[in-house]
Amino acid sequence: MNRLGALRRDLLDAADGQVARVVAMVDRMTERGAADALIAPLRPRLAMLRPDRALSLTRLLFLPLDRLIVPAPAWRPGEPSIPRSVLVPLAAALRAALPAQALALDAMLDGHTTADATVLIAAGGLLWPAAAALLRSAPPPPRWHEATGLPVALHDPLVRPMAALLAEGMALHQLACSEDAAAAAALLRRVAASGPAVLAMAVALVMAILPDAGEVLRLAEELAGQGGAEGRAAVDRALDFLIEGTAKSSAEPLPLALLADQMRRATLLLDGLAAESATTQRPGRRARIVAARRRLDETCRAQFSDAAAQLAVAAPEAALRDLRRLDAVGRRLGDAGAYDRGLQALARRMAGEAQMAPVERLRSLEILLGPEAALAWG
Amino acid sequence: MPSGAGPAAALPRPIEGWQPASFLERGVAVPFTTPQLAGARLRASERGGLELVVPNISGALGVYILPWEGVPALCSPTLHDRRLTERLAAVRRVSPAAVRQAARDVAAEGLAGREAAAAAAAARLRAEEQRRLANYEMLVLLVQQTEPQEPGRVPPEQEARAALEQRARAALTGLAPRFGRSTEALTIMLEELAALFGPIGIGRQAAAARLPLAMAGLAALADGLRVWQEQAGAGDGVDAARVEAAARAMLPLAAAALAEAQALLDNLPALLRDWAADPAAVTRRAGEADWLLDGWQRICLLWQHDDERISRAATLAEMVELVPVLPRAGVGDGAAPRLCRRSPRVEGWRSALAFQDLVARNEMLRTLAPDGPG
Repeated sequence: MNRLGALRRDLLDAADGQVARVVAMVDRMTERGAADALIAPLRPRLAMLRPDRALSLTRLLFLPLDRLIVPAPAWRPGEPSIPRSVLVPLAAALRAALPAQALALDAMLDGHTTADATVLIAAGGLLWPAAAALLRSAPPPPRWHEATGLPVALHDPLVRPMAALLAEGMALHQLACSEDAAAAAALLRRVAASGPAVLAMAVALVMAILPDAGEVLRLAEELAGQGGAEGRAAVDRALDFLIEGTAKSSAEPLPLALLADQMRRATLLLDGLAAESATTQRPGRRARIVAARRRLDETCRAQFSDAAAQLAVAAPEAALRDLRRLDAVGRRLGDAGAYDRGLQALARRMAGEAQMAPVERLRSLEILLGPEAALAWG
Repeated sequence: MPSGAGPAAALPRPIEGWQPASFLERGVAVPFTTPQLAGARLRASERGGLELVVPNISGALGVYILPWEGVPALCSPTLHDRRLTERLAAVRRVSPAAVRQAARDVAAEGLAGREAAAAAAAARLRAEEQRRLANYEMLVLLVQQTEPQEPGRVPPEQEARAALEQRARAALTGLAPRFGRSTEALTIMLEELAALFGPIGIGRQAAAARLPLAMAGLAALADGLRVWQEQAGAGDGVDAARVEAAARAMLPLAAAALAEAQALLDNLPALLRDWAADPAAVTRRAGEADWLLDGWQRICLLWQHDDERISRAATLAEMVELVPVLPRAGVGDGAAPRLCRRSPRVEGWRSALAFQDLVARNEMLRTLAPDGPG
């Protein structure tokens, strides 16, 4: 394995804090080149961790659409997502079209991170409407195909819906912060008139932010109905994309805590979709949901068993809590017995460990089995 | 089966529109770590023993009032909370200070985690240092207020400790015949008053004392909530506005109570006389700000502690639930608004935080408290 490959492998096993530091370092580079490849395998983890990132014009520009961005090889035409390869060319086109504004924004963003809400909102308020206006009608950037790997013909179907959503950049950013279902519904109603492709992206985006918002899902179905066959197909594409995404998410190498959270969100989404598909008579979708849920269940049980077996008796409390997070999701997905057995086996090992201080043992058992059981076992 | 929820035994009916008549009836906020007990208050029961006032866990209006023995109907308390309640059962009189002390002692035992135990140990050391400083400032005040002005004499605040103690002792000896007490008795009384007024703020250390810092924290919370409302979109600022309004309503009440307590220090001989005659009355007057601010620390800490797994909206919903209800008496014709509970609690597997995560978050909040996990 070459040096870069070894580094990438090390990073996959690194602690969250180390990952955040490496990413911050890469963010500071003016020419990222191979460094981008270094952090590419971390993207699923970064999507869950959401560390503070250095603010640049490109990052700020696509921040409201962040949850739709997928690796370029994974993108399929017509899918309500955005291939990562288009970000830099589109940002460069914006910079070329609006050089003075871009320089002013560079100055505003310099030295700030995504944690600086005031700067982010002020700069986003300038950038997102300007970008929306430009991308609504701009031709493909020069050397589009070479830079993105996409045919020129795919530029408009991909970029025009992005422009429509960037016009809602501030609302999307606020929605990501507030996770307010009423705001999400209002946003969907506003963008529905912009066409089926915009609606598809908006539904995918909103449901990724609010996976358990049943009322938003019902509204999406309602809007789909109003949009005729194209509207129906667009929302179906968005929901199928989300279902497919749950399977991909459980296959990604993530630390236990992030995996548990990812699976929790995926389960919420699938449960909401299952409830909705039952009322809308969609057997095909229901079958896909059942299959996706089964995959999640299997992954969850396998990951739980591995983690429980590998935990040291004197494991840090945080590791025990991570295990319980996965346990909480897993019980919703399938047979609770496997989780009970795993936790009790671990508790037996702890109860028999003479080296543990009594208070430490009590706390560990409490985390694993609850206070009554801790008193009984401890 | 491991669970954060308790058995579904009989719960008393929640009492809607509950507004206590007094601070004693309202009870004292206890830093429980069990999520379902967030916002619970402990008070002496009319039937003897202690009882809890627990916000309705459904998020609807109302509170449950139940003895500790009735808590399993509501939830399964953490080992830490069981130990804390055992400890509080032995407290002679429930007050914010007594609960803080008990909570700090229990945290030091380790049942709220290593970090909380370390924070408790550090807080003990700080408390000891603050007590020493409070004693010193009390001596300075006494000398300033009782010695005749003499040109060229070293100001008491610049005096060496031993010399200051000597001058203070001389002052107390001068006061002793008027109070019919010995100098030694007055010395002890002065130390008791230093312990009582230390958190209120004495002399030059006043701004760094616990209650002025709590006031500053509350003001910072109100300001932070104002900024949040300006940044949040329409509809997202309702809870923030509620908590801000309650905080701003509390600030002048607490400031007035604090100023009144601090004013007692302007005439130390009179305060010593009152203390000798009726220590309970002085304790009541000095303690009003502590009772007023009781329960706000957790709200401030929730706001300060930005957990990425919880949205600001969910944090605000939790904060709304925790805003202390003001008793009818002692706050000037209900000057502060009472809040309605609205949002269900952040709990359950649907939330980003599992039950154990919420327990861990609650334990962590206690390590952040400036005066230790109490």
